[in-house]
Amino acid sequence: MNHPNPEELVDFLDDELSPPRQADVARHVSECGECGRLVASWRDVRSQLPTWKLRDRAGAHTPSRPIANWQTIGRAAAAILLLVVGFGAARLTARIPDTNPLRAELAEQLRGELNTALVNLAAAQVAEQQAYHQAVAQFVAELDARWLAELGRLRADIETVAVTTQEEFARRGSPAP
Amino acid sequence: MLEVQTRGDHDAFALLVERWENPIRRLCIRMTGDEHCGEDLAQEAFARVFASRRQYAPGRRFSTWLWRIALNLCCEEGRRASRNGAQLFAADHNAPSALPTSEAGPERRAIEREQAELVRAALANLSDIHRSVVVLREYEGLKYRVIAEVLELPQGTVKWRMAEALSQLAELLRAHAGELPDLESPIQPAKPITMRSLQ
Repeated sequence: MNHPNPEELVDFLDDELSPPRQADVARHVSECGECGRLVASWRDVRSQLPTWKLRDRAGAHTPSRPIANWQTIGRAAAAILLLVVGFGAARLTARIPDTNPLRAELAEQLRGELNTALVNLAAAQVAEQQAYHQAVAQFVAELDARWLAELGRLRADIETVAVTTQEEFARRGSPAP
Repeated sequence: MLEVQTRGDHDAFALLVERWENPIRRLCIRMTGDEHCGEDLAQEAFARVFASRRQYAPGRRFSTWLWRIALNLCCEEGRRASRNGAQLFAADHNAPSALPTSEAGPERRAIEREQAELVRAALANLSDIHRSVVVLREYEGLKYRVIAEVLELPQGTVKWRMAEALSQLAELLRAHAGELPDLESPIQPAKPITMRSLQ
């Protein structure tokens, strides 16, 4: 038998030849050193290619061993069931308290606290306003006093100048203007 | 895809992305050898699908169209990187894309990581067409008939390319078995194995 062409050898590698042809090529590969080595090297390559693995983006990396055995899973399930049943039973059997008196009492208390807070707030505002007015009045009074003092000093200066001028005119014998 | 095409239906497109996101992402990562670059290209592929939805011929298989768009993007990226002097598939032993997911012990994991890196480096030395055939067939499990549609090649040619790719990979893996690829001097492309002797 002649050497199979590469196309046929690739099909042979994938077991995609017709059964009689597959058998013929298999016989040839086992007898022909050249073809045998070629196919063996291809098989070797194929066995090495999967060593380059990639993780899928979704991260669906299936663990090769189970996270827990069935006994553990059973215990966990039983515990969850007990919790659910217990919670449900408690919800069903618990007395529902009458909250109306408590609500009225709380409302009254809150209303009183709110009124007190409002009164205090109003008083604080009034006190703040009074303090402001007092401060303004005091500032105005200080300005008045300062202005009066300045005015007094100016008047004294003018009188001094007038007296001095009159005396000078008198000394020179000329009449005062 | 028809709903996406005719009404610009975003929900239908979201379903398509959800269905094809991981296969296209894997394809792009394996074609570029870089996880981040591959993810970017996968997103770009879906953006192109949506942008060119009017060009989709309803009689054509959607997956074929999508694989083709993603492959074209990867090849364009490879050419762009070559022009800019950058190198896709720059070896990184700790690259997430080369991480094996085995739960074996540290030594075994280190060996698996080295093997994964060897495979990644060997694939890097294949031409775009050879790498495309290997990735689509060996990693994504496509039939040769579908690969032929995606690559717009006769089925026989695809099988020839697969034979060549497997022979080149065998040489590369044999040459570099037991050693990791050098970061500074990338692996030189292996001399293609001619199968003239088998004729």
